[in-house]
Amino acid sequence: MEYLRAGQVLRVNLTDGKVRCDPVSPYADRFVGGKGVNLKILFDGVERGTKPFDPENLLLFGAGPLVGTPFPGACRTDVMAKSPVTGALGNSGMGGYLGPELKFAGYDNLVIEGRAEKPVFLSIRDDRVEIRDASAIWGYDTYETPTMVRQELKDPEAKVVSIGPAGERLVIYASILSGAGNAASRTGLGAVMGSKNLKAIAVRGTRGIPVARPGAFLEGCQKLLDSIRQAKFYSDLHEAGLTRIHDREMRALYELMGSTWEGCETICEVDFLKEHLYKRVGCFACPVACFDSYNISGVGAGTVKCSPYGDLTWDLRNRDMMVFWRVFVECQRYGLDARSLSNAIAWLMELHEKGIITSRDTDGLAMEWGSPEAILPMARKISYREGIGDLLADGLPAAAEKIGRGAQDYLLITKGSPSDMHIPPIKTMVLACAVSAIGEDAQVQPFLEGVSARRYVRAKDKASFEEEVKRYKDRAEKEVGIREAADPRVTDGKAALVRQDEERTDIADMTGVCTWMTSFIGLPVDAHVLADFMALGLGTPLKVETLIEASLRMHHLERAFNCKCGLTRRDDRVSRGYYNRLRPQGRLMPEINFTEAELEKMKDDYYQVMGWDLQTGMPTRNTLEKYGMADVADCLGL
Amino acid sequence: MPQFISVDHSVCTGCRTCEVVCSLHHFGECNPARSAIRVIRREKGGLVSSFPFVCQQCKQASCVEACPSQALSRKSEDHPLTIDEERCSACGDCTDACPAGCIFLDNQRNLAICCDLCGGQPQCIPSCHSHSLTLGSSNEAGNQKRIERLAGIREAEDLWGSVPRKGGQ
Repeated sequence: MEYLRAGQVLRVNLTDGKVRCDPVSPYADRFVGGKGVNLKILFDGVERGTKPFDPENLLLFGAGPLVGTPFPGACRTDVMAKSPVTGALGNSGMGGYLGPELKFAGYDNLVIEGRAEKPVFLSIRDDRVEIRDASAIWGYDTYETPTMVRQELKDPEAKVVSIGPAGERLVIYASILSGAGNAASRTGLGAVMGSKNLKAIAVRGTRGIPVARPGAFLEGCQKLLDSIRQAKFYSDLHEAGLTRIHDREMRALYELMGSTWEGCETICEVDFLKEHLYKRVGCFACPVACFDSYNISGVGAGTVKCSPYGDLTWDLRNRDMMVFWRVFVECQRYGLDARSLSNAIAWLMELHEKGIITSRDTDGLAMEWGSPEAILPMARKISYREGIGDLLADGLPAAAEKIGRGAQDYLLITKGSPSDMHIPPIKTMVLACAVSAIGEDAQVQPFLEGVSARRYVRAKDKASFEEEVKRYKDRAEKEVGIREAADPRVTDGKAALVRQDEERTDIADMTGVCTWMTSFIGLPVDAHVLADFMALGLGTPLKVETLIEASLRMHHLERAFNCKCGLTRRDDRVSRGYYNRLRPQGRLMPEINFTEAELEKMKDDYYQVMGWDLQTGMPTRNTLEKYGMADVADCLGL
Repeated sequence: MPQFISVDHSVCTGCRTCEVVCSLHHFGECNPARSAIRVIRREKGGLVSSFPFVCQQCKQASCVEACPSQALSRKSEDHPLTIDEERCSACGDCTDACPAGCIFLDNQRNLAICCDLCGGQPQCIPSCHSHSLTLGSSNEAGNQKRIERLAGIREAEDLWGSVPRKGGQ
């Protein structure tokens, strides 16, 4: 009996309809599960020359070993493919119920290969796997589709994820969504699903996930739940998701960037929450329940958390929360990444302001900052490829090339992926974005430099700044061994801070636990806790070092996959828009920004920490062999 | 006083922790299909509703009355419902009889499955972060009302399709 794992990798080929099951055990020890196993299958299975929309691309769904257990927040489904956005790794995690159900059906990972001739959906009921006709469902949105799929299957309990009109039309910012608002939004995985003519996946399982020491595991879960409940931010999170914290955070971020605008102070997420909250909704096994659910008559219903509130208000200079909600609901229904949409609209607005485009370029819409007339039609235009939307739907770099006239200088992207507009590019953040395999990644939130940069901006003089950041420097010394890591003016220690965030995220992604349970938002789950629970579940000792080693192995492989796709050190860069973005009170503060030389220096540091070649940015053969991946080194021709 | 698990559907966020905790405690595996508490989730138009259902330990229990093999019984008024595994044939008459769908079938062992209050310390209760589940003490008057309320929710929300009933339908 295999503990904690369902035991099988399900492979479905949509071209010839063949279904195959492989054991997960050959992957389990070295890649743990979830993202780790997905990545190994992707690396081995997708050839160098395969294009994202080729039938040969793979679309993978993976649930880690803790998924399906009562471990708090063990709900994640890792979704992966070669991405149409980055041209390399595509990866996005989603919460909800798909991952646990996949395991209850008997599968840790699901691999979709090939392309169906006509629209289909996939139905998995334990070992009954069917590819079914979806012609009648094609064209419907991600709210309607799950209901139609469940009706067709006569199973109201089936867990369904689907794509909407955006994914069907291969809009490269398309997402994959559950009917409850859980989304794999980043890097265009919905478009990959669309390219396979796969409208939806429905899963229902009735099998068990065995736990080696059930009593101790359960007792541990209850103790952990108690310590989560006692954490400082928990009551806030439990009552208001991230909304209350995010409201404050947006103000602080805009203060740091110095890009406040008239009326921005009137935006209040909390007031919107108080007035309109329908209920709180969460994911499988989650004690936080971070989703705010709204049902606003005449506007729309749905669930939301965190970033989109700011994406569609502050970042577009839009004060009207109802405009945010209307557009966000459309993004959910059409299956479009709200952050990419916000970035695209903000870019057009900036081009309009600079006179690079006029309303003639944008279907007669004057793309003026904050204009509801400009914002409201855009989700539909992109999702349905109407007018200017068709240009944006193939990606912002391609659109910039067509527009010309220096439009690309205003892009805020990394590896082709549109960034969060309200992430201040402090040094750690810039490095993290530059070296990330998928471009800008919201999972990386370097806390120590972030808080010290804010202190720096507000400090009366150098002495008071030094006094105020002492505790952050102490923490930096304790956590990453470099005091200066917490100093926003220098490049020292930034690579170590990035690694700290990456390790936290990687381990959570491999085991299948939401990073929201971790120090990411001040909750207590860390590598030690995860290793302890893995050991209880598996019934064999598991050292935390082994888990960390596996996460590093995954990180090297992630980089190796991008190298296989042709990416090198040169691609670890950020767009022009990142430079000199921090202007507290409108005044450029060069020391907390970054220069090209500083970024290159930090990259050197980072590659050194990772054991990667300084010239190419590729993992060295030595490093790969150290992690048991000589085959990967061979594949890369090292 | 006989006890039961009281359910407040209005605050349930649908995390299903109670389901996996129940099966983990009883069978050493995480498997909602073998749980004595079931959370029915419904997604509609972007909204989500979640409804936990669990045995209300009825004094006059329809399931006990319906069982053709006297497999269901209560030792005394203070005891939770128990299933005689020798007698139970998983015929499903009990699941049909419960007006709120609070007794289930375990298709692996071919037995009915019902909340046994974990010997007095229900494991699902401390695992419920939303306090949707609490330990209640029943009384004569409230007894019938509880099950009627849950039955009403089943009907009003059209939740019958999710209950594995007779013959695995």
